[in-house]
Amino acid sequence: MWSSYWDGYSRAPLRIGVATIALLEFAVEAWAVASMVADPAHFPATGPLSLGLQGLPYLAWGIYALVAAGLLALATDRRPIAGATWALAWMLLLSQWQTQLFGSPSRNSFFPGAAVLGWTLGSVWARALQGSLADSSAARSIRERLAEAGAIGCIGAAYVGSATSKLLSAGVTWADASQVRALVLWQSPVATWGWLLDYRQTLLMNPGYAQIAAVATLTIELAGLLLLFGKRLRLLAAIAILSLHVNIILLCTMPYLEPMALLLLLALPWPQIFRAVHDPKDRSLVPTRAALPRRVLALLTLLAALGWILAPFGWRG
Amino acid sequence: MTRPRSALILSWMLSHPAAWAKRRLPLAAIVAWTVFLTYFTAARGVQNLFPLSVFDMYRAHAPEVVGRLIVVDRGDRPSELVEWHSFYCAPDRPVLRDLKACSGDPESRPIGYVIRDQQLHLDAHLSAEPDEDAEPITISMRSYRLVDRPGAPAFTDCVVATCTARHERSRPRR
Repeated sequence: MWSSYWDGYSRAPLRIGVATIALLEFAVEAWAVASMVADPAHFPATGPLSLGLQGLPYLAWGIYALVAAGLLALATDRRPIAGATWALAWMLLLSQWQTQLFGSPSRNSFFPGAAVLGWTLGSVWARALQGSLADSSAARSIRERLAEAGAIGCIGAAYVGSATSKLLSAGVTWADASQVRALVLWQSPVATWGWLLDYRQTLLMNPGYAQIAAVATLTIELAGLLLLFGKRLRLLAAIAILSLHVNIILLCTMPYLEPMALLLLLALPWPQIFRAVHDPKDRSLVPTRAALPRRVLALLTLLAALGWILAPFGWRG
Repeated sequence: MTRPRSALILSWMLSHPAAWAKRRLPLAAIVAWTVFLTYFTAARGVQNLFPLSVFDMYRAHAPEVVGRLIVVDRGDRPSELVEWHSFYCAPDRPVLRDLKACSGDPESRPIGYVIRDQQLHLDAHLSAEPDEDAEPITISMRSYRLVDRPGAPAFTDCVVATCTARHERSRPRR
C-alpha cells in the first residue's frame, strides 16, 4: 500500500529540493508582483491589500526575503516546522497581492505551497508521535518519511481536485471534442515552428483526437490518486502527469514547471540513480504509538474547517 | 453454507476500520491519505486561497465560438502579435480589450490576461512614426466556430486596428 524510493536513504535531498522549488517559484512571484506594482496603468490595484501597498514594488522583495528565511530553516532542518509555517504565511501574503494585481491567482505557485504544507503536516504528525524523542537527530528519519507522505498527499489532492472541478462544473461533457480545441485556439492558435503548428492543427482538424485528449486529461488527473500508493505506481502516475504537462506546453504554451519539478523530485528513484549510501536510521524508528494523535486530528480538522470558514475570502473564477 | 474468506475479511475491515488501518497500512500511507483528504476538503470550501486550490482553470465547458487576437499580414497569413514590432497604428494606441466593434457573445471573447499580455507587447513596441521597413497588417479578433465536424474550425475576422509593423524575422533594407 505504501513504499518510497527514499525508504532506507536520507531524505535530505528531498527536503532541500522541496524548499528550493518553492524558493525559485516565489522569486518569480516576487518579481511579478514588483513588476505589476511598478506598472499600475496595466495592473491597477483592485483590492484592499494591493491598494494599501500601492507604489511599493520593493516591498515584494522584502516579503520574499521573509519567505526565503523560512524556507532556509526548512532546507537546513533547523526548526523546519516553524520555518515552513513562517514561509507559508508570507507566501500567502505575496500570493494575495499577486491575485489582486493580476486578477487571478498564480496556480503555478500553489503547487510548491501545497508541497510545503504537506511536508509540514507530515512533520507535525511525526513530532506528535515522537514526543521526547523528537529532538534527537535520529528522529529526523521518521519525521521526513511522514513529511514526504504529506507532500505527496497534497500534490495528489491537487490533481484529483482539478479533475473534480471540471466534472462538477461541466460534467462528463467537459471531455467532448470542443474543450481541448478551444484551449489551443484561446492560447496559441498559431506557432512559429512548423512541426508544432502541425501538431496543433492535427488536434484542431480532428475532433476525435481532441476528444481523446480531453478524456486523457481527466483520466490522468484522476490518476493523481495513484501517487498515494507504492513507488512503482507513483512513478507511473508521475510519468503520465508529466506527459500531460508536456502536451499542455506544446498545445497551449502554458508551462507548469513547478509541479513538473515536484513530481520529478518525489517520484523518480533518485537514491538508486545516484547510488546513495543507505541510512540505517531510516528503518529503526518506526513509532509504535497510536497512528493518529488527537492533536494532529484536531489540527487537520481545523484546517479542513478553515477551508470552509474562509470560503468568502477565496478567489472564484 | 459458509461465507467466503474475503467476505469475512471485508466484514472485519468495515467493523474495525481503525484497527484495520493500523494493522494493514504503513503509517506513511495513513499520513498521505489523511493529508490528501484534508487538503481536498479544505480546498473545496475556499476554492483558491494559497496554498489551497481546487485548480479550477478552464473547468467550464467551452463556448461554441472562441476568439483570439492575431495579426493578419498582407498575404492573409496569421501570426502572433508578439512576433511583430514597430507598430504604427490607427488609432494611435489601439485598446485591444475594447472589442465593441466585434459582435458576438462576451463568452466568446479572447481570454482577458492573454489580451493584456498582447497589449503590454503592443504598448512597448509602438512607434511614433512609420517604419520604412514595415508592412501593412491588421490586428484582428479571429472567432473560431467549434462545431463537431471534421476539418479546421470555420472562422471570421473582425479588424480591431490597422497598422504597419515589422516582423521579428524581417531584415531592414540597406
